[in-house]
Amino acid sequence: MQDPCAGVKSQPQRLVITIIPHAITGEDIIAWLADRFQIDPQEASSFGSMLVALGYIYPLQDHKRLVIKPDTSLYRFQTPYFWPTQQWPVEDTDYAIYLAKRNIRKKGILELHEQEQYNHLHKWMNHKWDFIVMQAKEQYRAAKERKKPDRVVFDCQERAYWVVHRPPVRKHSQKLPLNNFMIFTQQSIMRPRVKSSVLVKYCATYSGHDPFLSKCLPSNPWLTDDTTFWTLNMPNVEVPTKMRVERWTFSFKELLSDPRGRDDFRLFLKKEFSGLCRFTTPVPHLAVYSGIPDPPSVTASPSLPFLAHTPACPSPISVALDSTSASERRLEASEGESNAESRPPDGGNLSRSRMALSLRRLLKRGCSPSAMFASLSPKCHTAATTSSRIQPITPEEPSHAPPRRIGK
Amino acid sequence: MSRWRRSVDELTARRRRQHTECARAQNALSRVTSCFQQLVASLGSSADSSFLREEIDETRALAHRICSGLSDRLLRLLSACDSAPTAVEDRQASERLWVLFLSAVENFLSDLRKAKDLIGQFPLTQRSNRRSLVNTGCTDGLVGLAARVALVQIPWLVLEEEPSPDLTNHIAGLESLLSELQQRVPVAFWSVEATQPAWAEVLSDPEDPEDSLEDMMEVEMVSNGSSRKVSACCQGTCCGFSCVG
Repeated sequence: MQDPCAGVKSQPQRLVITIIPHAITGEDIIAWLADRFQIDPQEASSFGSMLVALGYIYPLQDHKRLVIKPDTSLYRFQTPYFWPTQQWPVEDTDYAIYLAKRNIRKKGILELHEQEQYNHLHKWMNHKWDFIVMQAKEQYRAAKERKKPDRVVFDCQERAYWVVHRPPVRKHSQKLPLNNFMIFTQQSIMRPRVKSSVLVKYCATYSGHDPFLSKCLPSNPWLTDDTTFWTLNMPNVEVPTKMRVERWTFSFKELLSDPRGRDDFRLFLKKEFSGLCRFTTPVPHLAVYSGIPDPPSVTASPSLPFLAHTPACPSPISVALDSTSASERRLEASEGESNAESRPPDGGNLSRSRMALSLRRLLKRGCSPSAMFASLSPKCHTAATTSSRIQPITPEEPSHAPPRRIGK
Repeated sequence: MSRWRRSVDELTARRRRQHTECARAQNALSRVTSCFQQLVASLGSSADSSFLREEIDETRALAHRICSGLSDRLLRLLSACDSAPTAVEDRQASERLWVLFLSAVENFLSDLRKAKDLIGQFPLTQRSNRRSLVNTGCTDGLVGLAARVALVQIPWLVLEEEPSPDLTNHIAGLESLLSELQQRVPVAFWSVEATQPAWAEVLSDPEDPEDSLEDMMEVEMVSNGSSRKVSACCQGTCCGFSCVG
């Protein structure tokens, strides 16, 4: 926009005391935007107002109204230091220093909302108030070292910055739409960036598994009438396919909602924790393991898959969510599997004290399913190749407990 | 006077001297960081130049020297408060200085980060880079600031000139310093109170009665042959806002 030939026409701003260059009129800005982006003046005007509302351009007259006026009112580009960027938080400390500076310059005559803010900040930033005042005085003196025109410009820039970031909250309806507009524009700029990254990540993760988006091996049964694909992916097939196992690495939900995955997981837990594994999870979206053939449970939502009662783990299982102490864990880890299975399932206190596993603790440790399967039988060796996801089983960051090795 | 009493008095006197020294250093740090902010505000604008960038580096280096010296001295001061018998006021004064120092470092750190981003976005390695600088209306006027920085005196001797770090390392160093200091010294921030009441700075005397921004912003408007001065913020008609500035 600044190009001397193709940019917005720039002119000097005449002040009583001096002349400051680089002022541009509202109508010129709108005309330039309309021409550059091939849009009509109405749209150019809205876009221009957005630039002003966000703080890239500021008005020199009527500085509190952050809109573009399609006339000869003057504007100027804001210096990059005061541009709104997301990595730079707008600090209350800076605002307090600014208000204190204004106090010094205007002998205490601040606007109403500024006075309120000042008092509020003085109260809750009281511990660093001496710093704020000291810094305000020094900044005030530092600014005086500049030549007068530049000083005027800096003061305008700073003032414009705070009009954008600390607008007065007004009760009149006339101000409200502007605030809403500013908030809306700022959020609308941010929102797609947040949501789309989640969506993009999801799509990227699952795209290989979507039969519409990528190949379905050996062939898509709907297209070729060859049902091998379905045979290979039966719920309780002996050898799961590589794609299936890969899917288990995406999340626990994937793992546990696939019956084959659950089987392997159970097997793994038995091996690793060699003891009575008692499992229920209060987390609604994970599969609920219950030893009871009929799905009863009031706590579980009806849409949850229920694991069948299998001979491998005959007893009803419940997870103790309170962690066991390290000594207890070492105790049960050292005991043999056969020992464990001979114990009565409803051992009451005894089995409770041998709570081997807390699912939540497991998740807290950052164990991803792929890590689990890293040590599994060759059936699932393909999972081990997704090396980027494999993490060592040692817990990374336990907040209070010392790191414990899971006994083998 | 007993020797014990004398030594306690000496200790107190020494502590007071150290405290004064730290207070002066704190003022110096404030001065340097304020100038730094003014300089950084010109980055990416039409006032940007290699001279500006050099000035920024020099100012930064000075701030670095003050910070390192001040953090050491404040640590010593506070640990001395712990070990020897100290008057409550002395302890409180030291804690206040501590909080001021940490606040100053945080404030400086945010300006350093902005400087780093801006220098990255507006490299000045080639002449053609100047085209991307924003016409903000500022042209120059940094010589006064440079002089102001040069006049800052550190209240202790800097015996060896250690090389100052580059921008990235400076930021990293300050971040680690900040977290280290916060962990080592258990001063409750909230127990420190301001020495000045609210609005006290209003009474601080300006060195010279200067024009307010509004006076300076008066635009000469020529209408119907006669020129009249109109305040730039109201275009003739009052806009209805309490137009104080």
